[in-house]
Amino acid sequence: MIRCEGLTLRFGRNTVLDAVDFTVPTGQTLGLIGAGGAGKSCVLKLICGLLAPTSGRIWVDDDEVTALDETALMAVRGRIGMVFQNYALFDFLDVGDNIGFPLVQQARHTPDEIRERVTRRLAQVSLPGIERRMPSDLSGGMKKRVCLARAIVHDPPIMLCDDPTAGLDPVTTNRIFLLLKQLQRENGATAIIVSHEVGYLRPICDQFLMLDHGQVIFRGTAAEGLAHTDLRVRQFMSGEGVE
Amino acid sequence: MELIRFVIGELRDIARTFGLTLYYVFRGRWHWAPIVEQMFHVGNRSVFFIIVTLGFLGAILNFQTGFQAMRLFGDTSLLGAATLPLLVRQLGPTLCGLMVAIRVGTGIAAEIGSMVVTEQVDALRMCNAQPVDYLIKPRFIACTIMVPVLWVIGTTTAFIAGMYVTYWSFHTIPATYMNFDLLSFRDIVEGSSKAVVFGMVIPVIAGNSGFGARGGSEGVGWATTQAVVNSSLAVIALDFFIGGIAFLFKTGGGP
Amino acid sequence: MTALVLRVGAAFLALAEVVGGLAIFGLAVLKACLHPRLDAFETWRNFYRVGVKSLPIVATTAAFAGATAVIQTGHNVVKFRAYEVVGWAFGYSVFREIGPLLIGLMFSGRVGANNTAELGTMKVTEQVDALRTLAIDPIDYLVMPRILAMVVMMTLLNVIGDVFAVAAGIATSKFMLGVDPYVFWNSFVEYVTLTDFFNGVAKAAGFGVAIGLVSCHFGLNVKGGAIGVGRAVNASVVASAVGIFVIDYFITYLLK
Repeated sequence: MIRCEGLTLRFGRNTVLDAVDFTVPTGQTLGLIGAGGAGKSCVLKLICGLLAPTSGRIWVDDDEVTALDETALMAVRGRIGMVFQNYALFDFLDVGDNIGFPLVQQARHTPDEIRERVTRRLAQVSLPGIERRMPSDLSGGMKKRVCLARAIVHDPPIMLCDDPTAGLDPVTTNRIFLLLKQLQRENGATAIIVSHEVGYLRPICDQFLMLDHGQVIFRGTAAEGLAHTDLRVRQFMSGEGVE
Repeated sequence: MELIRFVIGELRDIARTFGLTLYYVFRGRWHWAPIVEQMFHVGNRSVFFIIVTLGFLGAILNFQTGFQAMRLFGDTSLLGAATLPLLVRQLGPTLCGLMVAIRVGTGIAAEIGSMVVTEQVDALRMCNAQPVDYLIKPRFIACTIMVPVLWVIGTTTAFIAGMYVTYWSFHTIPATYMNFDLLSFRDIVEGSSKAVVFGMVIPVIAGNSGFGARGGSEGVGWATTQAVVNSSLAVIALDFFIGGIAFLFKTGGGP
Repeated sequence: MTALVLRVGAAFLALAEVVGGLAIFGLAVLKACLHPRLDAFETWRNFYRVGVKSLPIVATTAAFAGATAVIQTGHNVVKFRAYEVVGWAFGYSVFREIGPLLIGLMFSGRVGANNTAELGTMKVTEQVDALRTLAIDPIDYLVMPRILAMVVMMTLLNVIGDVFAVAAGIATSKFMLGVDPYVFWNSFVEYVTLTDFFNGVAKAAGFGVAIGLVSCHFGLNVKGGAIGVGRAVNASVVASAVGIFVIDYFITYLLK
């Protein structure tokens, strides 16, 4: 379960998030949508404690993230898998070491176990046998999938995906969403997905949250969004131009 | 007023990063592979650069002092002996420090800065690896070891370059130039402690600037510039403070 | 063995490329000097940016340089009880050598690096090409005002820096060496000549030319996106430092 209460984030005079409330029950998926610069990425970073809010509180399961220090946060972060917008693959490590990195840092697994898991995850994202290649040699879609493999390598019960298909072609986009759907079915994880591809999100997400200039302007299911009175919400949810 | 607030904020950030680095150096595990790799980088990147610049420095220093000596005493036989202590305790470490700040400091800031803007630092934190522990500690240890090494190489180069200049311009033979009489143990202690301190400070300040990078390639460029300016200023300021302390020790405190 | 030869060869080729590129660029700038067409607003903007923005750093650097020079000459001064030469030894080393050198290195870090980053970003975002399509010569419009601003401001900042260095020198010799400011000032005025002062000024002007040429050249030749900009900034400050030392050497030699 992820719960946010009165989440406010300001950088100087610039208000990024303004009193945002939402709850994602365990096992459900939230689609977080909104125009660029609406504060979607910040929500995800606040949930894992990478940013500190100006005010408001966040719970991940029973831990209040906003009250924890860096050491205590480590335990929470260990339960979260995060797909970053810009891949965030370590360019000094090869693909195999990148994916195995969270496990190496947790220091609970033997090298053989780690190698076995990395191989399995790479097969799952249909990129078998590229362990020894460097991230700089991969295409954008491949990097995204490696990033996804790294996010799920330690079987996290919570998934946060920051625009997993930004700048990708339609074929690769489709492939990534199929993958997300499959993972969701297999792991039953609680997830938040930030994306503009509402057409792909609709079958995966249980509910939607739309932000505009840091404020929640819509909260509900896809069907409710399509029938919403606000033009912006209808436009976003249908993904089509409205006369 | 805004400037003062900026400087204080910057100093507080640097102090916090420095404290964290020391904490991890003494508390954390030491992985030798990345440290050795960084040592190679630091040495390899700067040794040629330091030889060229410090070589010219030695030549300039001996020109400058030589002309003065010719005018005052008409004799340059003590040129080597007179310039060596200054070279060992001040000009050698300071210029080495500045060159490392320029060559290695910018590199560290650019590397870490681009990791920040591509979210790699966030990814490190998500994987329970502390950025200071993972990124700054190896560079800190590597620089602390390598800057003194570069100080020895640089000072020697400057001294030898000075020897050639004195030979060609003032016809003082190398045997006369190679005079270590005026060099005291104190000078070596002062010079080497400066080198060690510069080696500790430069990676922390440069890394701190790198962590401050925000927003795309312009942010990385800004962080890099900030790193050169801050670490060079730190070298110049610490040169004064360490030199002052050493001077007070020598003269027994107070005039 | 072959690998070593190849690496040495590659290093020399890279060096030759930089030196040759700088020479060609320098000639182009020289040619542009023959028929100056300066954009008034751009020139004024650069003068402000280069001069005013780097004044605090230059003042701090100069003050520390002056204070350090007093301490370092202090070793011999105390040994020979030659308190009346502090001002002279200080003025000679700071005005001629340490002042311009340290101010030049700081100026290169502050202004030169910034300049390379800015021009580099303009290059990779195709703004330089956009200027060309508007029939505006990048050398006239971008490079000339910057180099002019750097030469003039480096010279001026060096003079201002000298003032700060003298103030710091007087304070340090009073508190660390116990030399009366009056004694310091007397020996300073008596022995330090205008030649020493102008020697430093000449060096500062030379450094300004070097930093301007190098930082513009590296900025306008950035290749390969954002990473290229970072690399160019690094290469630019390194090349400026080497340039500063080389020019320092030759000016010292010529103006003995």
